[in-house]
Amino acid sequence: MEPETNMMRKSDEGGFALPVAVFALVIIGILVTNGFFIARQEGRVGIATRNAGFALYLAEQGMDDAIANWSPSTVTALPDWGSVTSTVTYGALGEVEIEITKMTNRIYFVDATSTITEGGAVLSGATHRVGQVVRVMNVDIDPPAALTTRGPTTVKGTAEVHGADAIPTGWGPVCTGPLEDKPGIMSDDSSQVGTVGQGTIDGSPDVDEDATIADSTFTQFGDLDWEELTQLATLHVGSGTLNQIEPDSTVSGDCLNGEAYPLNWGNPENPGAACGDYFPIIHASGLLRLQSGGVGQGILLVDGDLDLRGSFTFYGIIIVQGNLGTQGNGNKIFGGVLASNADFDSQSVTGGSVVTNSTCTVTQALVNSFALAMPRPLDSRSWVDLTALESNE
Amino acid sequence: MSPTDRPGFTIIELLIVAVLGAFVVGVIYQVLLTNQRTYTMQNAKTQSQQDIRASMNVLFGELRELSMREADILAMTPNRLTIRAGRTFGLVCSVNSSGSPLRVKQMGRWFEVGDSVFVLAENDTLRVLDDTILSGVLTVVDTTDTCPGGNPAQLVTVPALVTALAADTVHPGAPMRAYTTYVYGMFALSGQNFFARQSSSTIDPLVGPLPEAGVRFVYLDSLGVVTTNRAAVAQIEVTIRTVSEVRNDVGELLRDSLTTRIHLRN
Repeated sequence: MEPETNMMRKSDEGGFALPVAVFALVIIGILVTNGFFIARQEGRVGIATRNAGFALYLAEQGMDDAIANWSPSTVTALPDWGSVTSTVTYGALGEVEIEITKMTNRIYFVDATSTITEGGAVLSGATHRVGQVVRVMNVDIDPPAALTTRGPTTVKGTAEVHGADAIPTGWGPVCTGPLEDKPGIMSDDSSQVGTVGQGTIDGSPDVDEDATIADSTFTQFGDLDWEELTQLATLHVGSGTLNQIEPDSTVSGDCLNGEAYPLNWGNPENPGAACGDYFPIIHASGLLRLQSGGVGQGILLVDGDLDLRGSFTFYGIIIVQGNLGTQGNGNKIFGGVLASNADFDSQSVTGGSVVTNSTCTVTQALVNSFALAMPRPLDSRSWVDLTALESNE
Repeated sequence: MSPTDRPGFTIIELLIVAVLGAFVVGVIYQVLLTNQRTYTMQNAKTQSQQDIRASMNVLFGELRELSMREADILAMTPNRLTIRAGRTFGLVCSVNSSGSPLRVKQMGRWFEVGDSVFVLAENDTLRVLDDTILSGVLTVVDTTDTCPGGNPAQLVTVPALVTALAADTVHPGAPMRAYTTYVYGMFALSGQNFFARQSSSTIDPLVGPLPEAGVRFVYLDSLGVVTTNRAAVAQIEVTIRTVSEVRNDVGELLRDSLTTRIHLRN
């Protein structure tokens, strides 16, 4: 019998294939994990970089939108150094917190802080903060008389020009300021102003003279010149004849306004109606003839002559680079008219037309003309990257 | 069966095992080596890109705030740019009628004594065209004050502006900025080129080493046309090229570059 201790079964023989295979798998596993980790880190760096860029542009977008959607009634009501805050969401990408601080009645600081919310808890959170100092342009349109003009001016027929401050029917609730009587007509040469027939001019005084009246009286209005002012127009009607200017609204009472409705100039005779708070800035690029009646309010800018042919009512400011002519009955203007009459043509207010000074309608036209209340960035050094400000040394 | 009769490994088997083992080890070594090279190259690329991005971020922050109108670009060449870089920001809340001090709302960091500052002078508040920017150096700073509404504020004195301020030129709401003069561009440091920022006292490297022509500035006007007029620069195109000490598969040094265009906002 052979001794058992010297015997070895085949199954006891040690191999190396398995350890080598395991070792190889471990190495391969480490390599794959390493590669995956690097790729994920790179991916996150890329996303973080992209989100940082998005955050800047989102903050810019929020600030631009805040300026574009400026609410004069909200910000002007703030006390000096008071602020109003709002948050705007931009889809799934993120949100922007806007803080508008009123520093004076014309200077505001818009502070926009964006936060990227896209990407869940791990990838969201990029923020950026930018600011801009903006100024609400000072538009100084203050007609010194019911009619301010140059050259030969005659009030004929039964036409009337009144300098006494008047509040139109139905405007009492908004016309709470002091009354300010003005001259009926202000001219650079009062000797060229007169009446014929039953034409009437009255005011405080009836006719006044201001030798400083010049082209700039009709083209420079505070910060804005004529070109800038016409660029702010919200309604462009070209030149020629317009008939029946009337307010327009839907059955449900929404005012149909804007460039698509060039014959809707608001509803001055019914302030509580659909278009009662619509005060367009209307620009006519040449001669404008209004006939067959109608009503309007706001600011009417005319590059050429303005010819009113009867039964037209307008509340607000009319600035005419040519001359003003009226005929027929029923033309009524409440507010102030500036007629440059640069060519010193003979101009006449005739028929049954009535021009009446109304400081209230002038004020309402200015306050409610949205384009005039739009803020603009200061010309230089208005913009600041508040995030970069914190990181720069 | 006697012990000497046990079947053993033949020399052939051992040779086969040795060859196969060497092959497997060789393959693993190659994989490791390739991975190491790839990792090193990717790491170098990543580092290079991150360095360039970080430098560009610094430039973005600085150049966006430049004012073309106020000539913040003091000097410009294809590889160097000297600017007045905006720093601390505040908003004037009131001006003493004697011209000093100015009360300035804090917007982040406080102003410090010695800061060079700009402040907007509206002059006639009814006009825009007469707006100007005044400048001076702060000599006194008091950080214990408040603006209306309780906002933390500083009382600052700018001797160079006292006369102008007393003349009612600066009004509440005017922005005030401190600024520092910097030169951005390529500098030789320790025998190598770096994209760096030079102040009056130091040179801070931002990214490098760079190859020759590692930094290039192209100055464009508002229409995108190349200009040499500092006052007309509305956009600046910046290119940064890097070269790594790591070589790629064909033995060339790894290179990377980034070009971007920055619009001046002020």
